[in-house]
Amino acid sequence: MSVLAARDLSVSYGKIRAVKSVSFAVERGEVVALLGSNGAGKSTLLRAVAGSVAPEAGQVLLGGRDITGWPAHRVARAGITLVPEGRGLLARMTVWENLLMGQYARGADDAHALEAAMDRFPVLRQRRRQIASTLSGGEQQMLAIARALVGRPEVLMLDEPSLGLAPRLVSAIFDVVAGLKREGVTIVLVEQNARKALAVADRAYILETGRVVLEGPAAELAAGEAVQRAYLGGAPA
Amino acid sequence: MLGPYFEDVLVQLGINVILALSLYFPLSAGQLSLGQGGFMAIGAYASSWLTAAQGWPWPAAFALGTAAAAGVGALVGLPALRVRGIYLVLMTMAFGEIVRVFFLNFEPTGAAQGFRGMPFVTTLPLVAALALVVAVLAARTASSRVGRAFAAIKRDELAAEVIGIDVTRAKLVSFSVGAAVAGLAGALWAHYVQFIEPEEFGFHRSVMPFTFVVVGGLETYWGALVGAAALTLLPEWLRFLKEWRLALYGVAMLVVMVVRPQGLVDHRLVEAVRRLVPRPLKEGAR
Repeated sequence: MSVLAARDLSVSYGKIRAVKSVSFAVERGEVVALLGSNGAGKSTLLRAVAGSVAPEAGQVLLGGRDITGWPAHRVARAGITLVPEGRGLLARMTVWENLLMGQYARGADDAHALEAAMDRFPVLRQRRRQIASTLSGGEQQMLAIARALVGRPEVLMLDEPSLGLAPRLVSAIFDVVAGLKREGVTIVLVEQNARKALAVADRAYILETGRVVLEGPAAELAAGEAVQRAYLGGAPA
Repeated sequence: MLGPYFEDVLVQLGINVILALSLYFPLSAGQLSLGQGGFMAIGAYASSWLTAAQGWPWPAAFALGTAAAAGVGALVGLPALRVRGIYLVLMTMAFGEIVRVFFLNFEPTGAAQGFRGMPFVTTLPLVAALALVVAVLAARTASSRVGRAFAAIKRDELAAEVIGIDVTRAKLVSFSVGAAVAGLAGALWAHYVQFIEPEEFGFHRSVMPFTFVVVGGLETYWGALVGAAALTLLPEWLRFLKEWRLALYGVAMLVVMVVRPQGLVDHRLVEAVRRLVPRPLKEGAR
């Protein structure tokens, strides 16, 4: 059974239908990429899964259980952790406090997970007393991912983790994703950087104006000309 | 011995500290209320009616007055916390006015004539002790899991909910605790002056805690404490200026806002003071 699945999910903002009857599934240990240009509905889709916007129709299933319409904090406690676009850090809190907040849903501190997160990102250990907003963009993204990981999520959803980062840091972030994949973390990755996302993902869905226009194994999509066309379809020349 | 004048100033200071902290709680979760005067009125009238008309012992009356304010806070909070920012401010203002007009027309507690007959309870030691209790509650909350959840909501509600914080419930708790603390301030006030009337709890009363925390600083509970102290004591120190004193009070507030928009006390100052104060108990004595 898929650990996470969306069935015919639709989301509207007022009269604008941002997501139109989208279905996707994620198996345990898989990295699934959701690709598409600006306004394709990727972020909205993640937010609908995370419960921070209410879907208009369709279902969200976590391990077969219907969690459609659950408020975001319940979805988070059930094991789906979203790292929102723009990272959603608590800018005025220290690195350490941000990491502690990552375990809020668990209700108790898990020292082992905190240590593991700082082993993964040694820079966070060095800077743990520093205020989060004073970190560099790449470090902030590391912190956002670390904060999600200390809650030991069933499914980690990353919304444009490479957005606004220098090319070297983009590669570093994708290395992190690749490392998590090797450890068996289930990941849903929303990206505009299709090439890098397809290189790390097992499977991908390509969205265009709120619909899935293509889906398949990442390697196949990356090789196919159709992807280039579909992906470039909405992008500026 | 303290002179009666000085004691009176200190009692007002204590009540103002409690009132300022009543706004600190909702503010710590990003909720600005301009209706604290309304909660204060509920605490004042409920406790006064219980001691004066029902003959209750004051501790029970204070407890119930505080609880009544908390209960009304929760009732107001349920719908009000779905709105944010400026709309929440307007709703709480409207609430404060409703409470004032209610007591203006409510005959059992004297309506426009006001209400009297409550015993003198609010001594300086009692005010000091209760102010300390509320301040310790604020301090303990700030460094707790709940306090971190409040701070997360204040910064970014989306970030807070995706890490599993029940935003609605946390806001409701912070709002109700603030209402309860304002109710306590009202009970103390009523049993100090022994005469209350609805006009005392109007909009100006709601603005008081707001100016305390803005001048003192919104970032930590120390801001509420320092702001209440500064703005209670300053007009007393300025008495030698006679009729010019309130003008200078206003100028002082303006200067603080221009020179230190974050308020007198910010995180940086609190950290700097913490580093100066040695902590032999925690670090282990020499």
